[in-house]
Amino acid sequence: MFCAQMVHLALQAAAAQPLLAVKVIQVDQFTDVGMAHGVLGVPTTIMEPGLVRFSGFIPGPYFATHVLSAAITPPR
Amino acid sequence: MSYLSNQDEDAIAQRLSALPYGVAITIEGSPDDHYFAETLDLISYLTALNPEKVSYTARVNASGVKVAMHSDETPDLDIAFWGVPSGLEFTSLMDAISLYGGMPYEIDSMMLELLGQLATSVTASIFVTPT
Repeated sequence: MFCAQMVHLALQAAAAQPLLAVKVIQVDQFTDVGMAHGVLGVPTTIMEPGLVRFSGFIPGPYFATHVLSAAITPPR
Repeated sequence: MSYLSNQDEDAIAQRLSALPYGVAITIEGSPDDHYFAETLDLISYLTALNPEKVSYTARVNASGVKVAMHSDETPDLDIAFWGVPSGLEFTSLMDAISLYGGMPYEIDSMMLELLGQLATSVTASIFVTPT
């Protein structure tokens, strides 16, 4: 349930901000991608280029703050 | 294959007919991948509910099933689904189609204000399961 909620929020954000791209990845069908990113549970959100990551559902303003952090955090 | 009850089919058909703009869906995958066949079946079922508003094309790609959308009227949207958008993700797919199709959406005002400060591109990858 949290997966769909998180995706819904991210899609709203993408509609509001054209600089934000969203990929929804079924980790059971892309296990190699999930393992490469160290995904241990769902939903896990990873933002690039700053490699910001969090798990679970978070409120919209927190999500937007993470987006801004991902834009300014140097890639690791 | 019918994925929905008659009532849900009607509701989705109405939702699609309300789209201001048409949406083109692109499905990529390998013909050897059963997920690709499953996705083709699902998307062809969905587009058959309103072929005037939603259409699809399929492309061969060996790197797994990927579903993307496009509308000339909403060219800045960049949303993609990796894997079969079934289960709860079908709802997410419908949300995405609605956005590409120009349907209005609600967003938290503080979130909108913060997103307005973004000056460079960011990609959010959300890892999910269909349940």
